[in-house]
Amino acid sequence: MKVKNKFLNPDFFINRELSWIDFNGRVLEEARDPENPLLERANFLGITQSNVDEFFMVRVASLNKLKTAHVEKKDAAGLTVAEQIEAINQKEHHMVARRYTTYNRSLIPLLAKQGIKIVSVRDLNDGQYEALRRYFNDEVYPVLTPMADDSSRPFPFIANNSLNIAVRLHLPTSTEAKYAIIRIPQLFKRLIRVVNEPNTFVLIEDIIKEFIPLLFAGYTIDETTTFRVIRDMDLDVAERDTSDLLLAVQEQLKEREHGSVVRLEIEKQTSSALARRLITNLKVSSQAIYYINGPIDLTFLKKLGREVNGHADLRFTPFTPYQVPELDEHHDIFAEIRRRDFLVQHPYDSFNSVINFIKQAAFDPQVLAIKMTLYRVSGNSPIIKYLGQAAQQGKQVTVLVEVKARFDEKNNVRWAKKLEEMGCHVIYGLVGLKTHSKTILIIRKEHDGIRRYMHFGTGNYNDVTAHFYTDIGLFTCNNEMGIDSTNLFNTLSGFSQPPYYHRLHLSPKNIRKFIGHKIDNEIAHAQAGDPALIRMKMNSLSDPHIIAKLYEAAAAGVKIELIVRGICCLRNDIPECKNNITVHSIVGRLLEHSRIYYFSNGGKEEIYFASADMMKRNLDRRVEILYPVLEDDLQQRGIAIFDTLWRDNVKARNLVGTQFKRIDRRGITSFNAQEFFISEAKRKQRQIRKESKRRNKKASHFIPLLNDQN
Amino acid sequence: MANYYGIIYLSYRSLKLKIIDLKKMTTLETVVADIPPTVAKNHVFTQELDTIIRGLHGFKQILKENGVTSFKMWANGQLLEPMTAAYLGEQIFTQTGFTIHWLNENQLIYLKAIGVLESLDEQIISDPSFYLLNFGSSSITISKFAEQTFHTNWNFTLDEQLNHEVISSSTNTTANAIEILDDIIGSDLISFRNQFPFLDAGHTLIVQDANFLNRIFLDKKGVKFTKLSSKKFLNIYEKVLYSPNQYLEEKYHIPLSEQTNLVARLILLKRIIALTKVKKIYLTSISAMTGLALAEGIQSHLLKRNYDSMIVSAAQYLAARYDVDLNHCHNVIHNALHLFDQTQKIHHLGHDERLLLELAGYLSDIGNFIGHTDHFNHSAYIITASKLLGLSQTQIQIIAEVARLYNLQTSRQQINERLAQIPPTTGLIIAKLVAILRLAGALDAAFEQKVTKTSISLKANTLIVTAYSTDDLTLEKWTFNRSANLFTTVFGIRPQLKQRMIVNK
Repeated sequence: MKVKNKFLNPDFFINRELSWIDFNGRVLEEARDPENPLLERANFLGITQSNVDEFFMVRVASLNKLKTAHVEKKDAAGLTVAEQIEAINQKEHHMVARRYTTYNRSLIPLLAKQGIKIVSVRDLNDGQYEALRRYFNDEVYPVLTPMADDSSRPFPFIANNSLNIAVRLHLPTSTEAKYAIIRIPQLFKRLIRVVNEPNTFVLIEDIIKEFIPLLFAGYTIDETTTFRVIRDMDLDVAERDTSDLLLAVQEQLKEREHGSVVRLEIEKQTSSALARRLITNLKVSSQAIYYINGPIDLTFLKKLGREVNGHADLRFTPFTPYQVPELDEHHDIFAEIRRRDFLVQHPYDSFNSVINFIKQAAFDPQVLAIKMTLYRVSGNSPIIKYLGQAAQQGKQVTVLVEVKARFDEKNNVRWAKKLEEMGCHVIYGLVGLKTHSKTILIIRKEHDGIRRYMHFGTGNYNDVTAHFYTDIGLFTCNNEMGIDSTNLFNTLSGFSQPPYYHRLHLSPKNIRKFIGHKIDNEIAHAQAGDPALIRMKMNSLSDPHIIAKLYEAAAAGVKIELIVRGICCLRNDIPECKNNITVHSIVGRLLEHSRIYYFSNGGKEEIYFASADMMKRNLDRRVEILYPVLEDDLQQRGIAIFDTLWRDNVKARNLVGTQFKRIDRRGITSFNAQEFFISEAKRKQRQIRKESKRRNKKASHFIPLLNDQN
Repeated sequence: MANYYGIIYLSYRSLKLKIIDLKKMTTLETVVADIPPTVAKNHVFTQELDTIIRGLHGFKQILKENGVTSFKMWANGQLLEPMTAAYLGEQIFTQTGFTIHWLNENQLIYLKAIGVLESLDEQIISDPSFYLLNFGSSSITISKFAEQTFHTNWNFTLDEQLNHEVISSSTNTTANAIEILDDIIGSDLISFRNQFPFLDAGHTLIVQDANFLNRIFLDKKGVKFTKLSSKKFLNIYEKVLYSPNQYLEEKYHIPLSEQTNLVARLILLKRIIALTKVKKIYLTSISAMTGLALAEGIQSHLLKRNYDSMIVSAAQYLAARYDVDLNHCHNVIHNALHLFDQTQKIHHLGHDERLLLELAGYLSDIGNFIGHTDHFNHSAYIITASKLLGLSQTQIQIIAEVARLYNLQTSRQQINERLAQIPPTTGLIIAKLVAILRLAGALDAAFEQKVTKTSISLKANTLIVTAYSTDDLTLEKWTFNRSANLFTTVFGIRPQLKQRMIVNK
C-alpha cells in the first residue's frame, strides 16, 4: 500500500499504550457515571483493574524487555522505549488515584446506603467476629504457609498476580526486626460474607491480618501490609502479539530475565523499612511502585454482583435477546438460508441462531461435513457437544482450535482433545500465525448437487461472551463465498494458497491491500469533486500505515467517520485533514466488539464486516476474514446499524484532538444506541408473540406438537 | 442428481484434486498441493513421496467431506522406468489406498488437447484453425488443428544436457552462449520446418503448460485463455535471455538449475512463432485434468463427445506420410468395422479395441515404404516408434502386433510363437483383431475396392459373409478361405464368403 510519507510524521500519532490507558479511563468513567446502576458501576471498576493488570503483564512487560535489550527504535509517535515506560507509569499513577477515589468516596458509601457493605473486622459485633474467627481457624489457618525471610532463607518467590501479606515482627527479647511473607491462596474467595446480615462482606486479607499472631506464636507483630506483584507473563515471545522488533531481540534475552516484576502494588501506609525490603528483593524500579489507598486488586468487584443477594434495581435490567424465527429450532435453517441471507446482531439477536445452525447440521442426514474455527471456547459449550455428536453420526468434522489464544491455552487444549476423542479432525493452529477468523462452513448434499452454507462473524463462537459483546454475523449459501470458504479451509489444512478469492478478503496481507485500495478509490471520488465517505467501526486503530492513509484521504476531501472503542492512535486536529475526521468511542453496558467497514463508493455503497481490527497484528500476523454483505436489504440494515451507533450521544465520546470528551447533551435529546437496540429486540419479540397469539386464536382445532421428523 | 467424480493428477510439480460434475463439466472444488522440484529427473516422485502421501490423505478427507465416492488417480509416467513406476504405485497404494494409473506422453498430449478443444466454444478464440504448442516435461509437441479438427502433430525433445554444456562451456570462450543455443535449436527445427504442413500466415497459437509465462501473464481470475501480446512476450524474452542469473532468481524465483531450460524453451517458442507466422498468441490454464475429466465422462456415458477422431486423424496422417493406398485402407476398415460390429457376440471386444482395429487398418501396410520384403516387421517397428496420440503402451503394442501378424504368410505356428511372448490377455485381443482384419483384408485382395457392402449372419458354427458386388470375386474368395483358418482357430466358427449380385444400385 503506497502511503504519502508526510503523513507518517510522528507528531500525527498518539502512542498506542497511552491511548489504551485513556480507553481504560473511559471504562472508569462508566464506574463513575451515576446514570449506571450501582452494582454495574462496581463491575466496571473491577474491569478497569483486570484490564490494567493484563496491560502490565503483556504490554509493559514487552517494553521492559526492549529496554533491557537496549533497543533504540521509536514508536510511530516518536517515543523511545524508556520514554514510553515513564509516560505509562505517570499516567497510570493518576489513574490509580482516580480509581481508588471512586472506590472510597463514591462506591463504598453509595453501596453502604443500599445495605451492601464491605467492612473492616473492627466494625463487626461479637457474634460476627466469633464466626470469622472460627472460619479462620477451621478453613484458612491450615492452608497458610508463612515464609520467613532472613539470612538463612532466600526471599521467597512471589508469583504473578498473587495477593501477599508482608509482616514485620520481632521477638519480645530482641529489637532485631524480622520479616515474613504469607501468600493468600487463590482458592479463597476475596469477599467473605458476614453472618446475620444480607450483604455485608469482609476482605480475606483483613481477616488474615486480624488473626495473624496465630501464625507467629511467640512473636510480636509490628506491621502487616498487603502487596501484589505483576510479572512479565509474555513468556512465549515468538508466538505472542508483540511488536516485530521483540521477535527479533528474543535471542538476546537471558533466561533469568523472563518473568521480571513489572509492577508492585503496596498499601499506602506501609513503613519505609518494610517497603524498602520488598522493593529491593523484588528488584522493581521506583516508577513501577504503586502506593494504594484501599484494597489492592479491585477485581473482586467483578464478583460482587454475584455475591450480593437481591437488589435487582442496582443492576441492568436483563433483556431476552430476540430469536430470529427462521433461525430457530422449529424451522429448517437450511431452507431458510437458501431463500435469503441473514444478518444477526448479537447480543440483541440471540446467539442461539448460531448454535442452532450447528445443531441442525449435526443431525441432518444430508450434511456431509462441518468445518469451523474456534478461537476462544466457553466452558460447557453446546457447540463442542454438537460437533462431537456430528462426528459420531459419521460426518466429517474439522475444527481449527487456536491454542495460542492468550491466557486460554489450557482451556483450549482440553477442549481440543475432547473433540478428537469424539472423532473430530482437530487442527491445533498454524505455525507462525494466529487464526483469528470466525467462520463455519457446512457442506450439504442436496438433490441438485452440493451446497455450502456458511456463517461469518466478527466475534468468537463463545456463548458466554456472546451475551455481553456486540458482534455481527452473516448466514449465507452464496456460491462464490462458498468456494472461497472451501479454499480458505483447504489453505488452513495445509494445502497451497488458491490464486485468488472471489468475495472474501483474507489476512495476512490482503485485507491491508484491499482497505488501502478502497481508500484510494474514495480519494479519487473526492478529487473528482464527488461526495466521498468512509465509515469504520473497530476495537482498535493503531496501524500507522492505515492511519496515514486515512489522513491522506481526509486531506483530499473524503469525510471520515470512525467508531473506535479502545486504542486510537489517530488524532483529528491535524490542519491538513481539514476537520474531515470525526471519531466516536462507545463504552457502555455492552462491550462493542463488531467491526464494520463502509465505503460510499460514488453512490454504489459497500459495507463489509470483519474479524480484524486495524492493527498491525491483525493485518500482518493473523488469519482474518473481511466479508461483504451482498443482499440489498441486509446492506441497508448494516448501514442503519452504523447510523444508530453514530447517533449515540450518551455512551459515545467524541475525539477532540487527542482526547475523548463526552458529548454535550444540553438542548438535544439523549440517545443511547445500545439501549435502543435492546428496546428494538424487545419490540420485535412482542410482535412475534402477538402474531403467534393471533394465529393460535384463528385455529379452530387443536394444534398438536409433533416431533419435527414426523 | 449430480455426478461428482474426483480426479486426482500427480505431475512433477503438483498434486491436484478436482471434484467435477461429469455431466455438466463444472468444478465443485479444486485443491492443489505443491511438490518441491526434484533435481534429479530420474528420481522424480521417489524423493517427495512423503509430501505426496500427505497430500493424498488430505484428498481422501476432502472426498469424504463432499460425499464423493467415485474417483481415480493418474500420474505422469513419462520420466519413469516401468518397474520404478510399478514400485511407486505399490507404495502409494499400500499407504493411501489409491491406485495410480500411469500416463505416457502420447496420452497426456491427447488429454491436454481435448481439454483445449472442449473449452474453445466458450472462449475468445474465434479462429477455427490454430496451433497448439505444449511444453511437456520431457518433450515439446506442436499440433495443427484445421477447422477445429486435429490434423497432425510434431515432437521435439530439447537436449537439456547439451544445452547445459553449451551454457557452461561458453564462460571460457568468447562465443555468446545464447547465440549458440539459438543456433542449436534452429538446427533442431529444420526437419520440422521442412516437413510439417503449416497453415497460412495469420492464425492463432495456443501455448499450454508454459509454467513460467503462465505464472507471470495468466489471468488470475481463472479465465481459461489469456492473450499474450507479442510486445509483452518480446519484453520478457529479452529480460530472461539477457539478465544476470541472480536477477532471474530473485525477481522471478527461477532456481539456477532451471534457467538454461527456460532460456531454451523461450528461444524455441520465439522461433516457432516466427515459423508459423501466427498473428495471435494465447496462454491457456487448461491442463491434463480437464482432459481426464472429459475422458471419464465419455467412458461413463455421461458425455457424448467424439474425440477418437483425433486419434484416427493422427493415424491417417501417418499412413499418408508412408504413401499407403488410402482407398484400400478405407475399404478394409469399412468392412472390418462392420464385421466387428456384427460379430460382437463372438468376440466380446469393446469400444477401445474397435478403435485399435481401425488404426491397425490404416497402419498395417506402412512398412511397405521401407521395403516389400519383411514389410510387416517394418510396419511393426514404425508403429512402435511413432508416438501415436492418446494411446497407452499396451495399445500401441497391440496395433504393432496386429500389423506384424496380419500378413497371410505368417503361419499359425509363427503367430503362436510371437504371441507367447506377450501377456495372454493382450495376446488374445491381438489374435482376435488379426482374425477379423484378415477377413476384411481378403475382401480387397485385388486392391480394387470391389466389395463396398457386406452383410453378416451367424448360423450355428458358421459365419456367413455375403459380399454385394457385381465384380468377379475369385481372388477375393480364395484369399478369404485362406484367411478363414485363423478366424476358425480363434473363435471356433468357420467363416464363409458368398456373393450376391446387386440388383438395384
